[in-house]
Amino acid sequence: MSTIKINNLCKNYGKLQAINNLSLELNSGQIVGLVGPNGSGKSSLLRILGAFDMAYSGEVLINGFKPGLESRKIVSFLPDKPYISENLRAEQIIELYDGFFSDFNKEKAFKMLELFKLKPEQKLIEMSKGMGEKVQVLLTMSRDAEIFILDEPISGVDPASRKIILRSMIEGFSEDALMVVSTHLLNDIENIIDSVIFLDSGQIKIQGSTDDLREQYGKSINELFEQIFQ
Amino acid sequence: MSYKFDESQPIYLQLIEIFKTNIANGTWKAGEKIDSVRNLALDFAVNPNTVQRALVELENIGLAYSQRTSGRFITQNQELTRNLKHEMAENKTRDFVKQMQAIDIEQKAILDLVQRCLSLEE
Amino acid sequence: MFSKLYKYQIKELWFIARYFYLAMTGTILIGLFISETRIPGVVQFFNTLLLIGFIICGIAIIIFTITHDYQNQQGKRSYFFRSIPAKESVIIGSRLSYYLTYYFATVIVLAIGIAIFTISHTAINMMLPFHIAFSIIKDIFFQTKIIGMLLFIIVYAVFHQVISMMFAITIGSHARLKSLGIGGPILVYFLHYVAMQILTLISMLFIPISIKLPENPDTGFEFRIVFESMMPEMSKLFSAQSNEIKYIGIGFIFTTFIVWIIMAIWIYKCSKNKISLN
Repeated sequence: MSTIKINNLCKNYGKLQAINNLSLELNSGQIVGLVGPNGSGKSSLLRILGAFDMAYSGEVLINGFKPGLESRKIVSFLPDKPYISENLRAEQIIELYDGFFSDFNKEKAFKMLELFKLKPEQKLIEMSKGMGEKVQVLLTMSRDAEIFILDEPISGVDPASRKIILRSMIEGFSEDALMVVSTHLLNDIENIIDSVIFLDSGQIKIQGSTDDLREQYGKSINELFEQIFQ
Repeated sequence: MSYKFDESQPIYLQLIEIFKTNIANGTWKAGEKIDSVRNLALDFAVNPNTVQRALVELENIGLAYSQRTSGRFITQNQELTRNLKHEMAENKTRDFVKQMQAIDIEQKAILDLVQRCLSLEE
Repeated sequence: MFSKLYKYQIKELWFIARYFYLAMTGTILIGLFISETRIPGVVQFFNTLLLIGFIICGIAIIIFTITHDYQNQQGKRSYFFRSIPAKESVIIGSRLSYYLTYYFATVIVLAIGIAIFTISHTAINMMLPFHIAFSIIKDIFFQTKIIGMLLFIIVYAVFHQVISMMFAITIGSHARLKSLGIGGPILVYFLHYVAMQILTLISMLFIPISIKLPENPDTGFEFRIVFESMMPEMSKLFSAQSNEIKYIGIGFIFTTFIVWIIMAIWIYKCSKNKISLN
């Protein structure tokens, strides 16, 4: 059972308030979509959860631990920018991950490499931007982690690969796992998530189960998003 | 695979309809084991919890039952499946009739039309 | 975990560093080859060029050592490096080992290269065979205490450099300095440098431990440690009672050592609790 608990979280960059007194509780067994316009604080929030930003005020607990060493063991994080050494071959990066993360599933990684039609002996520097993003996604998804935090996992890849990524999210889902996904491509993802958080100026505007929201507004989540943030 | 859902309606309700159709037309046979939630979620490309919710609903109306260890099965109650079939047929026909009336087609014309379409099918 | 982290950092830089080490070896070999021709003028000219290139390569490796650590801590590879579930002490230890490995490797290569260039330079200037020039240079170093002092200075300087760099990169990327980007570490390094200069000067002046310089150069290079600070020396110098310095304060060695410990704790705390990636 994994949980994320956030109480009165604030984060600012100088005078700019990225997250404004946000409180939230997420339990395992669900895929949560985090959406909002640019600058709404999505990435800032995810970075804090990933223990990559410790300069915040308020309380953040991941399975009862402040983001740090303990949370790194159970959180698999996908940043929204390239972050891996370009000099390594895909297979070397997989080996590297296998060495560093005890929950890494090498078999799964090589299987996804094949699904994405990537060559194991190809160096990252020789890959296109989209190919590089696929490698990063497969590394993140190949950990049997308790919590997955994915910042824009599908925005940079072609539709066929999007399907593979969405499939891997369903496959990676379990009763004990929690997945938080930020995206601006709601269309592709809205059937995959079971609840959604609309973030605006660092605050939660709407939060709820996707099917409940559909019932309540008679609209798709994407239409609801467009209506609110037109 | 690759179902097109109407995303302005709750997905689980649409899944229930699909499952009911599968039972009515025999794709899912009486007494047969239902595929795992994960596999169904992958097939329909939807959230596993949504599939779970639809299957629980299916159990609530008696069309499926769970066995603690071996999984979920389609009901063997023939009467229930028969009723389901009738109910679905009736609902669809009622919708059809409503649509016909909405464009002002007379009763006789409706029957003629149905007969003609059926003979064309053959 | 330590050895994995260490290997990862070493390998990552090796992709680039290997070319520079290769170039350094190449310049030494070419230098020797040119010296062998013994054409005066030509040899001096080319060897000077080669020596400059050689030193630039060494400096480049050091610069890359620093920038790669920055990339791991705050730059483009930071989201990988900082996601590794390793204890902070292990992370810092592996960084320290990585720095020391490349610094010392580079210093050793530089020392060997410069020695070879010096020997061939002496051999040509004094019209001597190489092996005689070698033994002359060797004697200068080994028959005196210079070699010991030199080694001490190098080891001390390398340690100080490495800790200062780690300090600058870690503290300079701290939340409030983050917005300065790479300017953060540079600013911290600069401030730290100025502070260290002042601290060193104060320590030399007031901590009563010094090296007494040889009074008569003819009796050889003999250094003695005396328990006096430089302050009386300096006041004499300023009041024109004397016009030479007899002591050089070495009290700064102890203060720097304390500063290293403070910096290490600071690095640890900041690296553990104050990470803020871009």
